Amino acid sequence: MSELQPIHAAPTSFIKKHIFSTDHKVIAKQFLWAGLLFLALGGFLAMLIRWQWAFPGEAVPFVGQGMFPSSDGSITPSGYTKLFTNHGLIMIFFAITPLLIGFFGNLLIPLQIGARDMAFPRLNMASFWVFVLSQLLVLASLVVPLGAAAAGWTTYPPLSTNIATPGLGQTLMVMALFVVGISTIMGAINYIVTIIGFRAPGMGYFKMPLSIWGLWLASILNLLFVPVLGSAGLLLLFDRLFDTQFFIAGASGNGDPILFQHLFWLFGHPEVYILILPAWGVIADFLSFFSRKPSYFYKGSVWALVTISILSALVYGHHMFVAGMSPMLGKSFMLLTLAISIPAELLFLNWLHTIWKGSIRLTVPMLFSLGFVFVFALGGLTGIHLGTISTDLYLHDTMFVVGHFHFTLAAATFLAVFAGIYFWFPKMFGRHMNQRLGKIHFWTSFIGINGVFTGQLIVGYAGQHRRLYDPYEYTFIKHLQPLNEWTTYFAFFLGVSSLVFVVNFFWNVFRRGHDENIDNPWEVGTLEWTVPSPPHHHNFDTIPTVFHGPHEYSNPEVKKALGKDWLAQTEKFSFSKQDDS
Amino acid sequence: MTSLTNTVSPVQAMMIRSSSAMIGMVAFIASWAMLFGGLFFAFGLLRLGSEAWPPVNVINLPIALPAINTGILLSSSVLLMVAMHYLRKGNERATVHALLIATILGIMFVVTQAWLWNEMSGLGLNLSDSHYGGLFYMFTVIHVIHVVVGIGGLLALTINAYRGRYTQESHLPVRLWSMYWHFVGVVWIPMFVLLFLS
Repeated sequence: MSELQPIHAAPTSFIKKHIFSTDHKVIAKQFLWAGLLFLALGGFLAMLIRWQWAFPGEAVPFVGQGMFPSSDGSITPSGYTKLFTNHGLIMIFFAITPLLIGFFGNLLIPLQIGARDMAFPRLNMASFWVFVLSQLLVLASLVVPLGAAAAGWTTYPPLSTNIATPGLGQTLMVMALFVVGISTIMGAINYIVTIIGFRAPGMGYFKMPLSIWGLWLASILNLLFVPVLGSAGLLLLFDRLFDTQFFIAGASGNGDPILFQHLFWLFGHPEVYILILPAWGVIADFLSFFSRKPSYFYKGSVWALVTISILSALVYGHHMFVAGMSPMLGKSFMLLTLAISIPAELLFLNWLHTIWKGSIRLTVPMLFSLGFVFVFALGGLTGIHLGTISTDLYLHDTMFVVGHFHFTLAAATFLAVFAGIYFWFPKMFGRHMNQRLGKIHFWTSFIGINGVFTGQLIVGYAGQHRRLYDPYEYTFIKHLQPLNEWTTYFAFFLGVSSLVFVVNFFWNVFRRGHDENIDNPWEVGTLEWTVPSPPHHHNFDTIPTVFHGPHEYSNPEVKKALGKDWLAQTEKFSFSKQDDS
Repeated sequence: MTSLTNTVSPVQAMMIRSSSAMIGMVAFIASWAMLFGGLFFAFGLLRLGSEAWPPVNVINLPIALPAINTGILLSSSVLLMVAMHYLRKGNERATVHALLIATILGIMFVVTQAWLWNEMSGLGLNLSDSHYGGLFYMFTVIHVIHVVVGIGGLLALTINAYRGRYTQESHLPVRLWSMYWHFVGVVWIPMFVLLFLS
């Protein structure tokens, strides 16, 4: 008899243990560090953009002289374009993606399904190092002659062709996107195969935590739609490097800039769900864990996630309502877009039903989860205005769009990432984070987030265009200056509040010692909490056998028999009446 | 599909392992099909937006030579199936021969393609004058890169088969590279139709 997943000896050399590691737990931490680093970089760029909107043309304090010496410290128009371009690209592809997919995926998939590692550990390692290569390309693009990428995060031609952005920076950024896509696909193949083939005995698809469902569906979308961005990137690179004119129309060519928009959004719309699906899954689990109640209508949530994933591939046209689309096609896209709100509503009601009358424990991860539910509601509801053609014609390309996608993609994912870090920190490092600092971090960032993005929604509704260098050149926007200034103060508040997290995180990662009550401090039943913290190199001494779903809480029978309100997935317990249908 | 034991027999373990590799390869191919799908989509839109196809004053691509080359690539795929057939029957000599011929056919495809590029650029068809030329060079170059990777794989298979590394029961690399090679062949067909026949 040989074992399917043999126990390999843990590597001893520093390089194999911490740098070129094939251990999914180490790779997860590597993605965490890489993602947090770029989150800080992207956040810093956001602060500069906010400065410009509050005090256009004024010298930036502290960093201005160093960054914009030619203009005596104030942000130049071309510098401003580079700021918002790189803020968007860095946050989406090099901060949120590694945190939500790279970090959560690597940490959770083997541990929560009961596997010793990923299906292809070396591919996993390669995926991280290819990701590092893409980050290096981004950093290089910031410092090359003729400047960094400046075509907006959507990289629309003709702005992104040599006509408007002749610099090497834009080329390197497009290459970085292609390379990060390859890393993502490598990860996606690994995640998909691991979930299909390496679930522990008894771990049926409907016994998986919702986090795993979210990650799995996100991986499938990644697998199928990231290459579409790759094809757009290849065409663009040919335009930039070999003088083809696929995207250049007018005097110098007969290409089609709209073609890029098609390919970009064919990828881009699934992409927004790629970023939110893991967050939805993680938060749905947390709401159940800390309400001490089973996740309400678990299967409904799963089918809602599946339906949304499928629909996400069919709605990309709503990004192009003003790009000259046939009204017939536009209406179809609108209908499909609005149809997404039905499964999304089911998911949302399930969350509310889960916490309804629960014994809510207001731990730090729970606070972040409740914050997530709140900001996601705002993000989702404002999406309806943009998915409807008649309102989108007015709101398109205003700050309203920016507010909407920041509520969903920035605020919600940000809160989910931090909920996850606070929740799994004990499992990863064998130490607790400070809960009081965590609560301060939550309330300050929650206030900051809502202040910033509500401000954006309001000025957008009032007509402020999203990419104006100096919005107040337009008299009808002039009166919004005080509001924008306040929004900027909220942004700075949010930026400063992140320091609370930085202190809490670094202190607890690097301090000595091993805390008490660390193996299962939250009293939850998923598989990662049945092993020591941090887990052994091979995760499970024997592959566990799973008997229950991930959300067995407050069952009166269990309480009576075992005196606790939760049941691990591996704990054998025969209920008098089977109720996990 | 889940069993309640931790241990499985060696044969079972091998089968599960090979099936995860196969699922991984299917996933990879699905992903890459989308990449080519994106390129074909681009072809369609650019073609629809052009007034004439091929555009006036542009050297037209030949049909005969690419058609022969298509035949070469597809017969290479067929030879790989033949190799698989002999491998399953346990005929090692025939396996090596079939693999070798498949590899040589793959190399012939690349050589013919290079010859075609040389010919066309000599006649004055270039990347940047028209979408017609641009798409031809871009698509064929991207495809040939995949063919070259495949040839590397086939060469390794041939050498390993010659050394007797594959048996009737255990020949996962042959199956994986076959899937890849068939994909490269299949994706060439719409490419051939779009570039040379449309």
